[in-house]
Amino acid sequence: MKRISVNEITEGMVLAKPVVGSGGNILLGEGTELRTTLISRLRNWGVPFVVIQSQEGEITEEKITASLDTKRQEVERVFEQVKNHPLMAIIYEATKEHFGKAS
Amino acid sequence: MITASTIGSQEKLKLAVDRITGLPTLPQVITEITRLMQNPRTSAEEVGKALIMDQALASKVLKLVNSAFYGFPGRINTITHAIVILGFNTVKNIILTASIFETLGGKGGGQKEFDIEKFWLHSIGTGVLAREISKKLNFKFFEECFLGGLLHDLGKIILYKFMPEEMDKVLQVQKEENCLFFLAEKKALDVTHDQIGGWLTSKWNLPEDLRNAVLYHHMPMLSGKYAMMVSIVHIADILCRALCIGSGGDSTIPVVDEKAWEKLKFSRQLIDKIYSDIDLELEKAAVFFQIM
Repeated sequence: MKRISVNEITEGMVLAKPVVGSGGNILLGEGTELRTTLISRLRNWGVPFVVIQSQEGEITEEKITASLDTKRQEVERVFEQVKNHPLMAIIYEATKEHFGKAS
Repeated sequence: MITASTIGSQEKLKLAVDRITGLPTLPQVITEITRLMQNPRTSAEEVGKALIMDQALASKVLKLVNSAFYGFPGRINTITHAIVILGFNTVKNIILTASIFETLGGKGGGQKEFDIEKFWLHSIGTGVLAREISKKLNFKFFEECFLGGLLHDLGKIILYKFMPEEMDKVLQVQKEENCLFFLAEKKALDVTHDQIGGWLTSKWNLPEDLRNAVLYHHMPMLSGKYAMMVSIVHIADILCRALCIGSGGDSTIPVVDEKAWEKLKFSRQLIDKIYSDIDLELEKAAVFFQIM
């Protein structure tokens, strides 16, 4: 899935997450296929972006933000040689905490 | 001061780049647009007319302008409209960004051992981080910082696409010693990607701030009056490696330049602020993969 601006929607894209109104009500459900009428309705509602299902072979946000476990292991490896440096230690701690919090 | 060793390295660089054949040029329309934009009397229509001569580029520019990454409300249908709403400078940066992807993007050609997808992730990630850092610091040239981050490793893509034998040697050293790509280049070629990239920015007549970002991203304090922007790119590169976004050909991290850290008044609090918004910004940056 990926998050795109309403301006980037083309007909036939499918919602990967529901579109939720300001009151928390679901305006369009997950799996809705976006046709012209719905796209203009989204614009009228002032929805800034939607999350859609990705097409095959696309580079998507899952690829950009790999799984947290993988990230935590990678961080240890990347910092192995430098984490004793006082400034690098600050970056190391902040990064570790960032991936801890995100879970 | 010019020393014997700098002459030596310039000569080596010249020897290396002279062997490159088939190096692409930026789309011709870029020269025309740069010329037009230097003239304060140029109108938005004139720039729009020049850009639509290159239809492929124009459609990429419009796609970027309307993406969540740039986040402008309402739909922008023409280049002229984009300039009126966003201003010359923003549009110029977007055109330059689109033309870089048009010229160097894509997976074609190149040395198989080098992961080009991860390379672009690292470049885009560094651009996004540089933009975030400058926004948090209220540094107004955040779009220039994005471009600086995006292009900082320009020399690596030249090695990848146009110097396969040299790239082979570098990758071999990097693998054997698990060192920084930069150090592997030094050992294998005695010429490094910042020098190669810097050379190309001159050849392409890219703006001086960008040339400095490419040439000095490992030594930001050498960039004189561009030290603020180059320090931002330098730290963005390090944070991008810390967050393990893509890879520039090695899996280690250079030590941050202490003077650059001081110049930006960097701190743990600032890193936390940058990190808190970064995932959302990276999601929006997926648009760059669509224009490759």
